[in-house]
Amino acid sequence: MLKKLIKDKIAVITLIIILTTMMVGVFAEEIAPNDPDKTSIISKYAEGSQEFPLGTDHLGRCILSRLIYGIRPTVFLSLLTMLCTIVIGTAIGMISGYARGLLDEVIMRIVDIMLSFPSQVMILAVVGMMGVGIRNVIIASIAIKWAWYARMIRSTVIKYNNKNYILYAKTIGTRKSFIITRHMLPNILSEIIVLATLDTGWVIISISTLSFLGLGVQAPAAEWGAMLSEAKNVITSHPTQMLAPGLAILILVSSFNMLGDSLRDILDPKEV
Amino acid sequence: MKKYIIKRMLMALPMMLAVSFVAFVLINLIPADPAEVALRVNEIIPTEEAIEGMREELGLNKPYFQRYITWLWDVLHLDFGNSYVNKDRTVLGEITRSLPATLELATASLFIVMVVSIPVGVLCAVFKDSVFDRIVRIFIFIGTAMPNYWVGILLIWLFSVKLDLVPTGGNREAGAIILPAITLSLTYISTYVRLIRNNMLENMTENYVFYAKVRGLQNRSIILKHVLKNSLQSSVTALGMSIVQLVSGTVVIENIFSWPGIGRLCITAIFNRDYPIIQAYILMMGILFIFCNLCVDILHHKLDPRLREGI
Repeated sequence: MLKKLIKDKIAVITLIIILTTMMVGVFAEEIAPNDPDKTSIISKYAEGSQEFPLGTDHLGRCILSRLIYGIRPTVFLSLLTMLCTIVIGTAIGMISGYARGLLDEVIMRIVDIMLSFPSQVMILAVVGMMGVGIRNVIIASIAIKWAWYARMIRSTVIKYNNKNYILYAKTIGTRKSFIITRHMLPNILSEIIVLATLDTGWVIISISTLSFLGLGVQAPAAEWGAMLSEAKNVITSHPTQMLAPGLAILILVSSFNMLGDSLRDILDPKEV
Repeated sequence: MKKYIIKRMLMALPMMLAVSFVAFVLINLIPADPAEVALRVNEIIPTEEAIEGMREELGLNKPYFQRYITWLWDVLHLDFGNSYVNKDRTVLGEITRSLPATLELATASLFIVMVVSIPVGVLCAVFKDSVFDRIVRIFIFIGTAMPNYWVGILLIWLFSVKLDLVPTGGNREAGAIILPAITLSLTYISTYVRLIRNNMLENMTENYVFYAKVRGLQNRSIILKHVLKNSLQSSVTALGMSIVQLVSGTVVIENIFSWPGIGRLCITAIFNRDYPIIQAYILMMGILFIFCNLCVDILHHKLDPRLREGI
């Protein structure tokens, strides 16, 4: 599998882009040329220069530094969201699919209700009720996303439940937890990875959109969506302000999408 | 057929109840006391007495379940209560005032989506792997990875600031709807072009197409009469789903283009902590979603005879 991944050029390139972005985000303090929150009124809307490679914004803050620091909320919070979603969704889906019966019925009805709201409305609902802020945005994203995973994993578990090797494991009296973790999980893992990679792009856009609306990451913290929101206010006088953060989102999200597509081709046994 | 419609409608009822319950419960998840919020937004000092009075007024001192029944009863009579911020304005009034603008925008976008995606999807399938197909695929790819608010402001900059063809926002001037409708439709165009293209390609390998070719039918009539018809059927479901997404997707677009619709109402309500409006918005979207699903299922049933044999 790893060999195939290395052979796939697109997968390697996108993986490099994503990993580099993450590394830059981790070492933001060392890499960023300036302090992202340091304002200086004299040098506002500066052009690109040695000191400010991408110029400065309406408060004279270095755009490149803000982009670099913006990786943290954008990328890491989306990954955190995805991780929580996967863990919760997998656990509930596994329990539901393996236990069946009444418990399964109850869980699936809850999932139905969760899925009966369009995701954007649900996020707005949770943020609207719990208050504005990035923490609530993440909680809201997890609250709507887990149901998709739970349903998908449940159906996969049911599909594998009647496979001979699982039946054999049951017959010889293997513990349920062992069957789930050693026999079921490895089978489902590839599907989860593909879905999660594709969804990460969605979460990045979702978080940045809410920050753009002012519901997510709050000023003065650097975040790509929030930067675009600030850039929008000076659209007539300084239109170049909106280029860098938008391009950053575009590149990162398309990297995740391409990687997801490549992974699906690599991991999907049907194609072989 | 009738039996199916009735059965499907009866199934929608418990879902609607569940949605209404969620909308009701959410307002009780607020970390703050709604009575206190209602006082604070009107800049009344929340003394013990005032809070108690407001609780009485909002009916918050009654048992939980009783409150739900009362609320549901009022909602069934289209009484969503009054806005916290403007005491004399009803929530229903606020919503009916801003709903037409949103519907106008959503309809315009839906129109653009259909007019663009069907021909482009068909052309992509017919001329698979041609230059046209490749260019369209690149556009689709970018369309799904680009945040639509960024597209929105880029379009404003190009068409309103640089070329000065259309107004930047609002809905009073003529032509103001063009940019928001295009921005809103872009994401869906990418989805539908891909969907129609893939469906067409899948259908082209079916036996009935082979048979039609053997009969010596013209390629054009095979594609338009047989393949397209069969491919569009599966797009109906997706289309029904996206009507709600279009309406809820207007939240971002309306805020960029200052379009006075329901999405802007909702965002303003969130910032003002005007809970009754948020609650009504959630309820409305949930009901709309269930209703659209219902329509799609029935339509699907009518279009596809294979589904009918089951009953």
